[in-house]
Amino acid sequence: MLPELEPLASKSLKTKKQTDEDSFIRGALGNRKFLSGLIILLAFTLLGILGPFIAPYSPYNTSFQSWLPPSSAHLLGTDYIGHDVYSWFVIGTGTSLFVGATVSLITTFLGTAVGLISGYYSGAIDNILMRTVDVLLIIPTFPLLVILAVYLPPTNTTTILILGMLSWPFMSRVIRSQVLTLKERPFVNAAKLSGYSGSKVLFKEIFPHLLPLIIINAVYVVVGAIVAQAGLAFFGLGDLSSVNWGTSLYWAQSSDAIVYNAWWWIVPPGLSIALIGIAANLFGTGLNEYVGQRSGEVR
Amino acid sequence: MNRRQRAEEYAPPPDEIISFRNVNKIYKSGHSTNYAMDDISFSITKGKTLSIVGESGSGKTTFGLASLGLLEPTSGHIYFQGKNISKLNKSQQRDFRSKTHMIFQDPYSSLNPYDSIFTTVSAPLESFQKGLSRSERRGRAAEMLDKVGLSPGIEFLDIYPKSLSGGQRQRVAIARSLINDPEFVVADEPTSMLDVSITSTVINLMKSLKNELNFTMLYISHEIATSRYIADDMAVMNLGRIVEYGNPDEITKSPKHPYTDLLIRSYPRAGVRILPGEERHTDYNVYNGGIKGCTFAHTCPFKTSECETTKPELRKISHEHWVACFHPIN
Amino acid sequence: MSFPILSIRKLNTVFHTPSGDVNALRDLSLEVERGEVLAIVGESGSGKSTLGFSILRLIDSPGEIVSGSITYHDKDGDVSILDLSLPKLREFRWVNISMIFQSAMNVLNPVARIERQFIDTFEAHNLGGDYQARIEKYLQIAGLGKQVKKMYPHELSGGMKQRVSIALALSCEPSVLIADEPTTALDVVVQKEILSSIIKIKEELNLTVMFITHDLSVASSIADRLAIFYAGRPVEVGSAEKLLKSPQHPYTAMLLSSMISLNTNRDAFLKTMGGTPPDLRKPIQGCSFMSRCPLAEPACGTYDLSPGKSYGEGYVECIHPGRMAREVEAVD
Repeated sequence: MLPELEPLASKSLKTKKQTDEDSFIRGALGNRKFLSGLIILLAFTLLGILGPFIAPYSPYNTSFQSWLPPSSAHLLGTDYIGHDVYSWFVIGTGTSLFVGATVSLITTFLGTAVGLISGYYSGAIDNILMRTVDVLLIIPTFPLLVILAVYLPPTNTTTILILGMLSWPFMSRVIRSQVLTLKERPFVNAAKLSGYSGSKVLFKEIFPHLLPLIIINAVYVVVGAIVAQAGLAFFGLGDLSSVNWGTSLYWAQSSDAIVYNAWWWIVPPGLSIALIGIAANLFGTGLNEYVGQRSGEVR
Repeated sequence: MNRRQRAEEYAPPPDEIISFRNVNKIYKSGHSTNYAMDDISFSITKGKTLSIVGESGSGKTTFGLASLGLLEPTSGHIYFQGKNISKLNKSQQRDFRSKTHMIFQDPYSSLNPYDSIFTTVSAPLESFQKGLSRSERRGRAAEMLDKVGLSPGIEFLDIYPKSLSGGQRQRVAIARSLINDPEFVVADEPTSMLDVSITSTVINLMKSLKNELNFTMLYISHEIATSRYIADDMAVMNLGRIVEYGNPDEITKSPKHPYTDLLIRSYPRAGVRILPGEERHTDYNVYNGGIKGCTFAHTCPFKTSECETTKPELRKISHEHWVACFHPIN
Repeated sequence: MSFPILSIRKLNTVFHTPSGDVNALRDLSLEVERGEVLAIVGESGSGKSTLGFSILRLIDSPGEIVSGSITYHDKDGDVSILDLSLPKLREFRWVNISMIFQSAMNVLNPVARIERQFIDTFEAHNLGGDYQARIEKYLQIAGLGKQVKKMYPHELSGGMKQRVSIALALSCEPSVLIADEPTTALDVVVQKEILSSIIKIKEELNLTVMFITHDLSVASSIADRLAIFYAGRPVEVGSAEKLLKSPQHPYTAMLLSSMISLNTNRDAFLKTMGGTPPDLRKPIQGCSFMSRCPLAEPACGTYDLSPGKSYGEGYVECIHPGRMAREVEAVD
């Protein structure tokens, strides 16, 4: 018998039955930076998906007069050879985002898997994986990209594979260091004592704590890949026949768009690249702020 | 029996649950070496509460973690019910895990914020009682929550740790550690993060559950009064060694080791004034690196040359009292 | 007759949080007498540390001191701390009132030698004179040798670091020292030595000490007076001796009886206190301890807290003071 132990009030608890995930998403949306970043990212995604349907002309149609300023017939004017810039831009958005998303998928999968395994199972596996990562990390990415792009067939697939293979090592480092701190937390020991196997501890106890970090990194990689692809295209590397933001800038530069004062050709892709970069930063900072503030509240 | 077999398994005496044999845990960082456990040979009696008292750096937490196999000793062997815990095969390992658990110091970091109270509390059942259905596990978890004073337990199952106070979280941690009816539980400073008014409730709870469920408990704390209150046996640790062991009342009423004596005299007592001249500058915890003689020798008022060269072993000085000192206090 | 050095009147400090405003200090009034050791005792959330930080105006966003006054009675006249301009406040702090913290690392810079940290403090307050002699003097007062001057914080043990932070806090010769849980992170042996040092320094330098702690044993072993804090207010203030012998407020009495000592009966359960402190985000009517008090009656809910009841030189916020008074078990 425990006469001393008063029953604790349960009244206040009854209202709190919503799941943790629900309140997490709702709470994160309350952060203005996160919300505005998310809205911009979603807007671009929507534009990318709808591109082929809302483009009034084929991006390859060169039957229009060249260097036309914006008008109702050509919302963003035409370029040096008579492409409709608006059609080129909305379809190019889709290509750029596709490249970014695919690279991010490869990076996130490899980076997370290697980071988790390496961080949790220290010892030989960790050593082998991390030395590989070290080697990949010392290689200066962009120069290598330029060299590879010269020698490999210039297709979007090549670009995706190169970018994917070069960006996962960094992500695995980030994930690994987080796993290293998480696995020292008492709840991990508690889970081991409760009989959880290594993989169950890893996926059930540790992985959920990494999700915000993984999402933030994935978004950064999308943007990084878009910028890198644009950079390659701008230098005339990669697939110049591909319709995307980078090739748009390349052709604008190589045909002296500035001399013709054709701002309508340069501004849309340039501004988009800047804007999506800002959006990724807002999204990441906002989510970080919210997670930090939430863990503060948890304590 | 040859030595190799001896290292893996033996028939333990009936009242022994855990035994340390010449266990060392040495941490090296840079050129400094730290002995968290310095050649410890010690057994824990079955069914009793043993409290280990020590200051920070004494190795008490290392002792607790090692006894559960959560960290590997640098050398020496630890036996649970006669089996070497670092040489268990898979089914023995499962058996060992199912019979042991731990209550941690910080109830905020020992509960995973992403797991519901049900998931947390029923985790040992999920692992070790495969035959139970989910609803049976819910029933058992609710029952256990009732037992630790979170009632009605069923109301607590689907909430998350963030809605609970520190004291309530510690009760959840206690429920988790006891739900699978363990034989051995380590409690590492379970009340040091709690407020005074919550501490006494949690201590009462542990004491009464201990009597009801009859497990062996290792209670680790820097707080000598609570340790004395909850324990059947008490051990005092200093710089990786057990320097005094025995009946808690005997140790606190007439400490034999000068270090224990210092600890007890320094313990703050309500209304007993501390005087201006009482400082002695014993910042002794700075130094620990494989001490040849007694770990307390450099501070001890009674030391002789023997204390600096020879390691004092734990020896019995009365019916329920052991001390590792060449010149115990009379 | 009393000669306070600090008078706090109707102080309200609020923390603005997403889930509502937390009233950390509620209309708090308290006098700190010149030359005394006043211990502020309370559990987490009682407002004890908030008070220390409020006195030095160290409350940062999302916290805010919303109303009240804090008056420092200087030899040359009164100073209203809450009305000081920022430059004046910087001059005032440390020279008149300084503070030590639970973690000495809050004031020590890990990458600077100890002497550098003293010199920075002196320069910030435009103190002249022989710096080296001054550093050695205060290190010695805090119980440290002068070789510590040339050391870095990481070369010192926890107790020594706390001594350095005491020396630093005293180096501008303040009249009041606020000590916020200065020994909580330390082991008992070192704790006792530091406490003993604080008492000695207090007598040598004629300091007033405000000692903030959660530990009633520690408080009663060094303080002249105790102020027991609960839910953002002192519920009982009185001489340490009297308060231990005959606690007037039920909270004090229950706190005392739930304490574990080396003489606690091992065969009985400990006395406990049920319930939890009130939610400081909501307005509190009447007595804040009502929900946990075995003596509670309807009148407690309408009890007007101000001005509380006096008994002797003490003060208690309870309509039936002393009813739970008990003799404290003779310790030793």
